[in-house]
Order: sequence, then C-alpha cells, then structure tokens
Amino acid sequence: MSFTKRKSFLGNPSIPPTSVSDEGLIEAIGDGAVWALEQLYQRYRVLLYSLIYRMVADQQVAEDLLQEAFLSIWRHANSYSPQAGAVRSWLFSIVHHRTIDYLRTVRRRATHLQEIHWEAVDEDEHCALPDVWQEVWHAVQSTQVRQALMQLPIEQRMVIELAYFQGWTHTEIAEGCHLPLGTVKTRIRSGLLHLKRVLASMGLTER
Amino acid sequence: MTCEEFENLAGAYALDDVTSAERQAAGAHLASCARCRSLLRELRGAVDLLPLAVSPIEPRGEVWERIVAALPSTSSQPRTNRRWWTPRLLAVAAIVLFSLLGGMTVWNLSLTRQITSLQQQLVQVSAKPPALSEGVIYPVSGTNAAQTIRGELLYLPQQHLTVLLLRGLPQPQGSQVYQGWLLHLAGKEITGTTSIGLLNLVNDTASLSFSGEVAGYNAVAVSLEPGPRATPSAPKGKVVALGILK
Repeated sequence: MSFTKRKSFLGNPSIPPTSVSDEGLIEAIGDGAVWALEQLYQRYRVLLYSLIYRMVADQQVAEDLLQEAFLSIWRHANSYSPQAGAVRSWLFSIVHHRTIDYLRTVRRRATHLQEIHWEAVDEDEHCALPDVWQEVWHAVQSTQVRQALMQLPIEQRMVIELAYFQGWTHTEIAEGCHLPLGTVKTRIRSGLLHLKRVLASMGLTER
Repeated sequence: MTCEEFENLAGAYALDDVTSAERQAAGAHLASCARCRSLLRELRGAVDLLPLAVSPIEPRGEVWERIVAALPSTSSQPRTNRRWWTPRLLAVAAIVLFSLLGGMTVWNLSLTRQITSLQQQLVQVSAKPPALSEGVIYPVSGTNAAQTIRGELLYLPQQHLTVLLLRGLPQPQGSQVYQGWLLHLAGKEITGTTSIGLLNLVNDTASLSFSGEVAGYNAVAVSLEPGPRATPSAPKGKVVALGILK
C-alpha cells in the first residue's frame, strides 16, 4: 500500500475472518457456504436493489427480483470466472438481465419520452451511505457517474437511459424516437465511449 | 463480420441487445480482432459503471430471510467448509498461537511484524475501494475529553477528491448540523477558514466528500452549527473534531 498516513485507516488491527474478497465469497458460495452468500448480500444489497428499483419503480417487484438474483447466484456461483471481470460487474449483469427480462415481459411502457428525468446532481450532494470506507466509496462513485452522465449530450443520455434503465431494445428506441436504427446504435456506442472517457478523466474505472 | 460492421453493433453488443446470429458473428470476429476486443472492453467498462448512477435505496430486512428460506434444504449446512480459512488466515492463526505459547521478546517482535504484514496482505485482497490504496490519510480526533469521536480525512490524488469520515458523533439537537472546515493556522491562531460543507450523519457516522485537495491548509475541523443551513464564513458553533494536515 502507498498510504502516507496509516495511523487510523487500519484501525482495529485484528482483521475479522469475514473480511474476505468478493472472489473468495463466490468461491465459498460455490462450495455451499450460506455465510458467504449472506456476506455477499450484505455487501451488495443496496447497490443491486437500487439498480432494480430504478428500473421497475416497484418495491415488491424489486425485492422479488433481488431475491431471484441471489438464488441465481447461489445456483451458478461456480460459473463465475475472474477472467470475465470483477464480481461486482457479474452481479450487476445478473440483476440487470433479470430485470430487463421482467420489463420486456410485462411490456412496461409507462414512461413517456418527455417524462424521462435524469436526477440533477446537487452541487452540495454528500455521501449517502457512510458507515465503512467501501460504502463511502460507492457513494462517491455514484456521484461521479451521475455527474459524468450529465455531461453527455441529451441525445446520447436519452438512448442510454432507454436502453439500459428502461430495457428498450434498439429497435424499440428507433421506433419510439422516430430515428433510424443505425442512428440509435451510433448514439449508444458514442454515448458509452464518451461516458467512459469522462469517467476515466475523473479517475474512475471499473477495473 | 468486418470491423466496421462490429463497430456499428458494438454498443448493442455491450448492452447484450443483439440477436443470437449477431452474437455468433460478433463472437467469431472478436476471436481474431484485438482492435474490436479493445473497443468492446471500453464500452463494457462504461456499462459496468452505469448501475452506480442510481440513488441508493435499502431493501427491507426481510428480503434476506426470504432468500434463506428459498435456498435448497441441503444448504442448511455448507457442502464443504474448506474455504472458511484462507491460507493467509491460517498463517496468521498459527503465528498468533505460537506467540501465545511464549517466546523471547525479540522473537515476539518479529512475529508482530509478520502478523502486521500478513494483515496488510489480507486487507489488500479484501474487497475494498481500489482507489484507497493511493490515498493520503490524516487522522481526525474529537476535541472532547473522552475523545470518543474518531475519523480520517482521505485525499485521493488520482480522483482529485477528498473524503472526510467521522465516527462517534452524537445526534445533533433540533436544527443543528455538523459542518466541515479547512483552516489556515498561524501557531494556535486561526487565520482563515473555508467551509467544505455539511456532513451527512447516519447513526453515529458522518461523512462528506468534495472535489479538491487540502494543500495549503493546516487543519481540518468539524463544528456543530446552529443550522439548518451551512454557516457561511467561519464556525459559529463548537469545534467537535480537529485534524492536523501535515
């Protein structure tokens, strides 16, 4: 570590045995360790539930989907490979796919294009989940990602919102927005690249 | 599939919004094209961060109970528990056991260093915000006699971000708020103050973050202000925590 000051960060010198890496927890879950599933749940429940709720806007549905996601994690933990990416990305992928499937199944199209609002980032916004450093860092990253999204042109931001958070297919976006399909694909690609570069300039990368 | 064709499809592919035929064709192309694999990595990097944009919401506590209840009945006990202890944890336990059995002082000092080193490695492999490994940390202590308030000011140079975290803060009364300040000091005299905002308090832990660094300031302080808004120029209330920045 390259800490300049370490007087307080390591705090309690005794590392509890529950401070296991994400990869370690997945491996333990694959071996049938319920304690590892619980720890993974406690570590990621807010991030994952927040994403689901953002997409479905229904508490009961979001809880059901979160439950299904963790049961899926329990069943398929052995399918996770570190080479494919971080555990967090794998978890996001699981819940996102399940939620997209739900949205497309119920064909929830209540959100009209004109009613999409990106939450403006309050300049005085502070961390919302401060208890341990990891939660503080998640809150900081959340602010950074929202700030970065606000820097995208509205046309790129809109297609990302529809595709990622609303579960619209590219074809549906093209039809709904009266755009050529090629334009939709270009805007999504450009928007994601633009977002990546803005976040990289903030020092924020997934890996 | 050509590179141009994949480039047109890349955003949809990163969002997993492609047909099975498109996925197959893209997969075959990616197997032999490093440039397109790099493009896909970049796009997926952005997709991986999108979930962080949402506001945090806590699920109800009963969700975990429902998950446990739905687990297969054979999972009431772990199928194996061989992963309870990592090799590093076993090494720490062995070293602790040796130290408990006694030994010479020099040997104990050596063991302490080894334990600290192993603990550091454990922290490194633990799930933690990766950026913290490049941070500069300043301890912050309460000004009360009991020193029940403890925390850190962390500066992350790569992100140009500063985070203040405090534990042990009592709940403020009425409209009172905790506010952070950066101070210029001349000896023991405060010659300048800059507000860094209101701390967000959850239970007894408070935090705030801001874009910027603390270079040029001598100290960080937290005061209990009358509220509900931030005090504009200098603390009016009592300073409850202080950290020296050096």
